[in-house]
Amino acid sequence: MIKKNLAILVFADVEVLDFAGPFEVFSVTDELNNHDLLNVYTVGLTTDPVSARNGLKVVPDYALDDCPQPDYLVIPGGFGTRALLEDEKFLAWITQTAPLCENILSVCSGALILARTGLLKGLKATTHHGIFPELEALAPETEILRDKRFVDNGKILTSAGVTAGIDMCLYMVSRLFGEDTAVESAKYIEYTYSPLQFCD
Amino acid sequence: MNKKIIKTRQITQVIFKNAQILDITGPMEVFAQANEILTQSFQCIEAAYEISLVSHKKGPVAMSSGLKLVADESFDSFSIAPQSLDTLLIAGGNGVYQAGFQKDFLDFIKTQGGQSQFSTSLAQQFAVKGILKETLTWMNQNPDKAMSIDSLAHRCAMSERNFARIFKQEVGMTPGKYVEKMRVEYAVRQIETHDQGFKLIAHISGFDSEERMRRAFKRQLNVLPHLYRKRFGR
Repeated sequence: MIKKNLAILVFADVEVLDFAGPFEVFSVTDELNNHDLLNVYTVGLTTDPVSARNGLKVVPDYALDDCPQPDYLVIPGGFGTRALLEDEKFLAWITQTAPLCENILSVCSGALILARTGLLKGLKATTHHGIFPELEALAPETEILRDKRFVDNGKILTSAGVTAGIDMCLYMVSRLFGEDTAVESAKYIEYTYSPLQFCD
Repeated sequence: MNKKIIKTRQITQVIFKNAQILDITGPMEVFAQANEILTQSFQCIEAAYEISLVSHKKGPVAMSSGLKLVADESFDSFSIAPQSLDTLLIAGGNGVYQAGFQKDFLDFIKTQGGQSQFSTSLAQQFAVKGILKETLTWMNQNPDKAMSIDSLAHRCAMSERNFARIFKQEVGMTPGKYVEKMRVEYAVRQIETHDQGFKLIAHISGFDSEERMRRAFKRQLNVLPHLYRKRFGR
């Protein structure tokens, strides 16, 4: 099997667990399977260290313009997404990269970026419970599901806040590699695997 | 609403090469969220929790998943004084087998851990001088016995002065402070596991009176015994 590229965006004021949860789920899955499945990496606007919420600093593996084309793209949320909504260069990158991805997953307020680039048009979606109105304003043609941990539209998946991203990613692992693999990864990180009950 | 001034708590996480990222980021997220709630709902002026990462070297450290987190400080240039550090968190993960055998890592945890989230039973394990170790064991097992400095010094066959000096050096606090901490810890275990009245608990834990125990709880834990029982008792 050819290893697939899984990119996780990081940016100033990204919510810590929004990117770290998916990173853990996907990298543990790869590790438990002889490193055969996924090449997981972070992508920043540049490769300068990024200061996440509360000061945690992460060094991105790649910058936007030199990163390998992702097969799967994870867009975390956090207060920092608001600045990205105005960042033309970043939005252009999303618009160019999205069609080449097999799946795009947003966590928390990462959904705002998908909405801003028109990628949620006509789909069902969810986001952090605190910003349903914000998402609604940015994506009037999107049906917002307020009681789901995450929503699967096939190519595009969106999750509710913070820890819901872990559920969505475990579900994604089961979609890609089978439920046994997802259960094994969940067990390793001592997380209760029950994503299907949350899914729309 | 008036803004509240609260004391900022210093939280430090010890990280190392090949640590598990959720071990670090999970707690971090919780404290970040608590900061946000305290700032917004209770209008606190300062952040309630200040978190830093410390490692063998300052700068990027690769986690077991490949994610690179940046250590704010190194063990040997750690800027927070042991008495100012409120909580020390130690991450886990595959890398612990290498990190756990490094002297600077262990020394750091001994120095910092011996002061912040203090456990008197841990102090006993750290105490290297044989005679002091025996005395600490005796103290921990007999909280209700009288423990004046001269009797403890006598037990170690040392002068009072020498005993106080060596005790401070090995345990990191004066004998008097240690006795109080140890008695409070003992009383806490009683509250957690038994239903006896506070008068009896005070007595078997070595406090002269219930009132003395109350004051010691307030000093050590900033909570009164009955409130502690309400939250953590059976």
